[in-house]
Amino acid sequence: MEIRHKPFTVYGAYLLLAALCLFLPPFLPDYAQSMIVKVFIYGIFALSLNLLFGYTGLFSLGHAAFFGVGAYTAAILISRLGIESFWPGLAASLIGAAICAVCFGIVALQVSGIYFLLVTLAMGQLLYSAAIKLRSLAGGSNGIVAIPYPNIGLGFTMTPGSFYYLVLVFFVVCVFLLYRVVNSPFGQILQGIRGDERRMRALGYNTWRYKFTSVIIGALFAGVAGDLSMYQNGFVGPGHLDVLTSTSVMLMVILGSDRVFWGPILGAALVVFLEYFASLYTPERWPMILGGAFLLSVTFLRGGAALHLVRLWERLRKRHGIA
Amino acid sequence: MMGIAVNMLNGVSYGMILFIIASGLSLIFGVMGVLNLAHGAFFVLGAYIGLTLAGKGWGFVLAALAAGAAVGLLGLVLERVFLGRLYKQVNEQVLLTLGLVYIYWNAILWIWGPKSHIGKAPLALQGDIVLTSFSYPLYRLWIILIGLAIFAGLWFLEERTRIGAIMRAGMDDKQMTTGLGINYPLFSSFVFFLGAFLGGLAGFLGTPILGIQPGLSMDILLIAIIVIVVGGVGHVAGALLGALLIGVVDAFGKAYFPDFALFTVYLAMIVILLSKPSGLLGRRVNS
Amino acid sequence: MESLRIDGLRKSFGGLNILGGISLTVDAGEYVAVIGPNGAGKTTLLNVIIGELSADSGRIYLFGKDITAMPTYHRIHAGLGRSFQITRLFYDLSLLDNIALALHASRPSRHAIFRRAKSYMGVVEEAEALLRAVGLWEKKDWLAASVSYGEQRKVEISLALALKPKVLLLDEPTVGLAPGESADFVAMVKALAADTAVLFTDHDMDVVFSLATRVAVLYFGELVAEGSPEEIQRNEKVREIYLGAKKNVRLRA
Repeated sequence: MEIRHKPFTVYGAYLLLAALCLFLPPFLPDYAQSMIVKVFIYGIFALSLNLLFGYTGLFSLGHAAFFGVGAYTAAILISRLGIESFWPGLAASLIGAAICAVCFGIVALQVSGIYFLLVTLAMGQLLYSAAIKLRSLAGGSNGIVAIPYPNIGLGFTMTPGSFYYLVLVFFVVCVFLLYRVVNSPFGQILQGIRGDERRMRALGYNTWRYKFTSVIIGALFAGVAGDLSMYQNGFVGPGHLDVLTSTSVMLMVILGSDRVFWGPILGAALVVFLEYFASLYTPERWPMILGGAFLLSVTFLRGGAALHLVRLWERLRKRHGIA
Repeated sequence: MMGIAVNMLNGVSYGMILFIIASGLSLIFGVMGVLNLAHGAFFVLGAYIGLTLAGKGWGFVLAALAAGAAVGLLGLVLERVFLGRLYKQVNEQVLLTLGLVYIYWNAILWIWGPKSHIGKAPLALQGDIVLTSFSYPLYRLWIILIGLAIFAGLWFLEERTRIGAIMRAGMDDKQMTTGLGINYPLFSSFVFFLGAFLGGLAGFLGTPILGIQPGLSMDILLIAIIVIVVGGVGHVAGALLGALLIGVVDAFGKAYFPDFALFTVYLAMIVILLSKPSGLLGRRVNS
Repeated sequence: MESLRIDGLRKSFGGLNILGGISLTVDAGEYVAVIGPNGAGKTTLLNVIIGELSADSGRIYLFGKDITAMPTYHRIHAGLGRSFQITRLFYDLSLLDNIALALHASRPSRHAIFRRAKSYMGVVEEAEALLRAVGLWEKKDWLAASVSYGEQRKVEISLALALKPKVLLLDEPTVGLAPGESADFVAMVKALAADTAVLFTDHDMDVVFSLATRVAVLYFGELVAEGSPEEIQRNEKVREIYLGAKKNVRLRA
């Protein structure tokens, strides 16, 4: 694929998107607003997983652990320690996710391929059963409930409307940071490791260290997503750490595309919107619809929706000579 | 003393159910290199189909075999329609089975509802039998025997038949096998059928012991994975060893440390994965 | 000056003895070819020297320093480099990005996490120069998967050369190259820095005899002959190995 400056039309599209995100929401009904918030949060979550999966080639089914730990640490701070401010909660999420990532990295990176998958699966489930057992600290199977909207210390009470803008800010910042990371030499090195780890070692790269770092970075962003998710739902439960959450976010990544930077965001959006429509007509059949969409994607739309969109766009451009 | 014996028997009989499902998972994984995440759903499907048939008056044995066969057929279809397209792409295959879990789980919920059921042992095997100083459910003892019989059958297949030789050679390579005059599509279908059959059979046989509810799809899958990781892939003896180990640990764990049973099982799996990834009796895995 | 020295390297797999006590020295500026029939252990030897396999016994010295226990990536930083017999490229990346990866490895930019990779002009220029040297500059933005096998082979060698190793290991570098391309390859190697030591294996005797300053013959894990190309050509034992018992045949004109 050619490397050139972004064409005029792409910039135009970005501007349009930005304008929509900034100015549209106050006019939308509550449920639509909260859907977009969900897309932002899960977009960050899916992007963080794709750093491990699409870029480094680490197939993990335990990524929800970082998400859940992020949510739980902040929730514990608020409900058990009475620290109600947003920022210490966020810091706790990041620290908790990082510690979790260090453990995961040290253990899981000893093995590779399908065994890595199994270890991450086991570690995720370990945390899940721990969350259920720790009744006093983590609320057991009920989790921690009744969490109010964040207090960011600017002196006003947050509403769903202002919460939307808070999440939007985080979304933009996270996307920007991750974009820089994957386009940096570090990001290239990760892709090299995914391509051929043995070759990378023969070029002089300490590949373990890079894989470990990518796990930590991925965990940090997942922790942020977990923190925000906790505020949106008002609670956190063991389900946040469950294998089903890990598989759901993986589904988002694959549906959207693991080969295009913004693919996971598209995947998150697809899943959130699909779920909404399913809830209107057949809420109980939602998992089946999700599984079916996923199956179709893996079998027929290989590479993900975003990849096909990009290819389509390229073809249209060439054919009509659009800049 | 009696407590230990009872727990031991509980562990072994539970372990036998685990063995049957794990042997199916290990077969598909060890021979075809596909980690079938939908295997837990196969288990649950087999249980429900069998229960439905038994409810319609089918005999226990017939219902068990029919349930197994139905699930086996499902596995076959899965392999033909979907997995065949993703030849040698391990990641995609795992992801595919992931998508299938969602579908199967929900379909099961749809057809049979969310309630849990307890199966009934066949009339001849109901009730307790007196063993030395205590009485023990007859059905559980029979499960142990059935498990051993299945083990013997699988062992014979693995060690003494041509198909078994192909399986042991780890031939998941289309070109290599057809080059040797072996009908690869037939071989592959057979493996998937047998693996799924065992999963479904285990499900139905386990209903009097484990009960059944849709959520078991994931839970039993995770335990089956632990079993084959601990015991090792590639030999059916590995699945047996792993299953008995996990079964006994679980039984004693539940009896003496009710809070920590599952926790320790996952920990054990991580330890084994780190020290000997191929499991206690395992061989190289095609992945 | 002794660049690479291996001392009594042994390696066996299962019960099979692949390397049985190999000792060899390569000085700066020397081009040593290791030849031998298939299965003689040539690739294993290179794999052991680079660190992907660990020797059962024996030592490896790089500029006098014992690197036997060093992990591969460390040896690369100590001055070793290799190319693979079977091309190993990063097929999802462009040719330019492939070479850039090799270049970043020795620079502080390998720790950079925020600055755009494309903005490292020094790396980009050097990568383009390396591609120009093998005539692939026009295809610098092509994905590695989409160029021809011969072109991929050239990129493979370029990756090794990009490291500017002081000791270069080449595993059958001319496999799949057309005769003209093989000659280009020989010229490329001869154009390396004067103090580079090269240890290579190849089946193409034209390449071996036009490039090597010394030839070692490996036969079932044993070094059975070593000397100048002319000496090896005349060596009776070597003729036997390659040609059976025919003593009247010349190895090459």
